[in-house]
Amino acid sequence: MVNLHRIFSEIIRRDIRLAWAQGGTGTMALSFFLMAVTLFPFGVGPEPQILARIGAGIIWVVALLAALISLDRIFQADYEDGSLDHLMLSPLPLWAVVLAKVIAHWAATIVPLVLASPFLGFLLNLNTEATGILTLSLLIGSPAFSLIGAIGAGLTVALRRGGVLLSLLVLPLYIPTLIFGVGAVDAMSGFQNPAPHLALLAATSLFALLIAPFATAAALKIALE
Amino acid sequence: MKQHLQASNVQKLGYDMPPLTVKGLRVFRGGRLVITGLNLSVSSGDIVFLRGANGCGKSTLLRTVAGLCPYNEGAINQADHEGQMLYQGHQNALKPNLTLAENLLHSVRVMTGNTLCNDTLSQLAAGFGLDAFLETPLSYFSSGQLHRAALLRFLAIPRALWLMDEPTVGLDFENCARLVKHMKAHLALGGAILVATHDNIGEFGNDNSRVVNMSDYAPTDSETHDTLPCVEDW
Repeated sequence: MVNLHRIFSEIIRRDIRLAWAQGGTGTMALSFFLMAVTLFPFGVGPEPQILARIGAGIIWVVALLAALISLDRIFQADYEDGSLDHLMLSPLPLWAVVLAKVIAHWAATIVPLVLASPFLGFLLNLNTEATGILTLSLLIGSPAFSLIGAIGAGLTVALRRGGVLLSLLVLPLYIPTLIFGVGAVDAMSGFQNPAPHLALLAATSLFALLIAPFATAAALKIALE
Repeated sequence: MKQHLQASNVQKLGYDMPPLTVKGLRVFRGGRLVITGLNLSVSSGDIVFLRGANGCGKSTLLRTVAGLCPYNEGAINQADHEGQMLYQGHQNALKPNLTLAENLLHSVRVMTGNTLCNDTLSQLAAGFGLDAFLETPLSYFSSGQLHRAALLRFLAIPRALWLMDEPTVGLDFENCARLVKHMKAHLALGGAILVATHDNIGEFGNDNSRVVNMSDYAPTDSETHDTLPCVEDW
């Protein structure tokens, strides 16, 4: 009997490794995130009140964009060198292959952004409670970045310059995640209970988890014809 | 507990492969009819050479049999060969940042769920004279070496039906001979091979070796402009 768990974990292990190898997306997305957020105080001025008001929104939006620039690599590198053919012929069902690759993308590329967000929160003059909720909301909401993004990445895998199309496809689908994520931080700053926002955020991530592996598998099959 | 793949087990047991049968295959790609009326049967121990000009559907047939491309009409008993096929196309499917050993281990783990111990790994790599390069990242390999590294999959992953797309491209004489030796060994174990190639590689004996000329299954002029059966006129 083929050990499917082992195949699943092997795909995750290799993708995390490749994301942090030379030319991987891990370093790229993290440095984009850090640099883009530090640009905002230069652009809107260094007044602490203004930064504290817009800080959570900035960090959320830039985290979204950082995730976006890494999305096309989820499948494209494997498509270009033929590895995707082999993954499709592995005994693991395609939706599970997709899920493994999405988990690897989240762990290797998105989690570092979440871990870096408290530092950027302090940089933008968010108070401790708001920074805590910001990090928590990113942790809960960010799986949707990888999951929803994978659908777009699957659809555009065979296109030469699919990056722009991918952004157009995926960005509108990120809006609920963004609204609930920033809403949680704003609620905290306004001395309200952020829990309902976090619950809705978790719901978007779980909904994406339910849909995305199958939608992405279907998208890949269409793209690879 | 690590399960080590027992290469010797496979050799003792051999493969028990039901024949691959392709009946009345008709394949459209990009809205164009590429293959029509193809019948093919490949049994245990058979090697079938696919020949024909560029673009006549050799790669399409291999990808269709592998299940990577859909077909429009006809039948292929793919269900009988689930998890029994190994496909190698033009692309090497190797990661330049990883070493040969890591690449090979990854292939084996993803395709079988098992792993290999170091001794087996170097024995396998010796099959194409690459045992000295196991710990070398593939970014330092020449294109011929990369191709040999990709072919090592056939030795490392025990699958009955080999689907090989131009396996001899870029190989020197010595490695061509090695490839033929490995292919004969695979046939002797009861495996089967479907190979698209322009080269005349080795003698496989007349009983088990056949040539399929893909131009026989190319659409005739009147058929060339056939549209997909599911597409309605607007």
